[in-house]
Amino acid sequence: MTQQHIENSLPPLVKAVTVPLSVDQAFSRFTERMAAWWPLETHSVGEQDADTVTFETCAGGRIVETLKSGDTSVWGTVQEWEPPRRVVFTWHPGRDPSSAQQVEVQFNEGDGVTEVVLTHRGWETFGDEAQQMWNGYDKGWSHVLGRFMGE
Amino acid sequence: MSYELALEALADPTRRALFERIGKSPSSVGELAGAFPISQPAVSQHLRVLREADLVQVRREGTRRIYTVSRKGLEALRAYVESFWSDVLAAFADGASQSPEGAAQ
Repeated sequence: MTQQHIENSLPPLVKAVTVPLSVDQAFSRFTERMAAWWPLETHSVGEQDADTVTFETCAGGRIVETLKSGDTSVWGTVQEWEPPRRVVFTWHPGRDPSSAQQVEVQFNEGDGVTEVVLTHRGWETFGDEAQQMWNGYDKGWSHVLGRFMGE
Repeated sequence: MSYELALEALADPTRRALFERIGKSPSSVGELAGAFPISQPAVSQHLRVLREADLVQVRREGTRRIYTVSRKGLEALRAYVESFWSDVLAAFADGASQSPEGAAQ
């Protein structure tokens, strides 16, 4: 209980996956070739009406969804661009930039593989109740991660 | 969808600030109006949106109505974001292990 008064922020959400690619390949796939793999039909502002997503590969670059109508929606903006090890961008798909959270993606070289670690920050706004909730979810994640790593 | 209501509710900076404040310290409408440069009716309106998103709930203490954070909306939001990145990283990995142009370079 006293801990809640000392630390009112939530730890970031962290997810990892290992792919059989070099760091260069994994970084390139995640960023400039995002349109080739991102599940747009389910994970976008336009969903079925989404046409493509463009990751502008530089600091200050935007991640932009283009709809079939030609309309665009900015998901976030690149804050730190450090190919092929790390990229950090703001994250506010379908929302106003003032409500942005932050996503960092790190690419760690292994033996013929690359571990991609994604960290979603910005939960510190959610207060004490959220801290308790987080503690509950944290336990479930090892199963999820285990499934990814095992496949 | 509950998570969409929660996202929309928290997209407003004033509502987010009210929500943070309630998270730190459960409060009545009057206390919130005293802590923010907005009118009591405006606070009530924001609280209504937060309540509809299951982000806050009301507790009665005698004649006072105290707003506290509710887990339900947060759980929906957290579950949504968690499954969102699970799906995205699964798609990232699936293609990477099958795509010849990815593996052969």
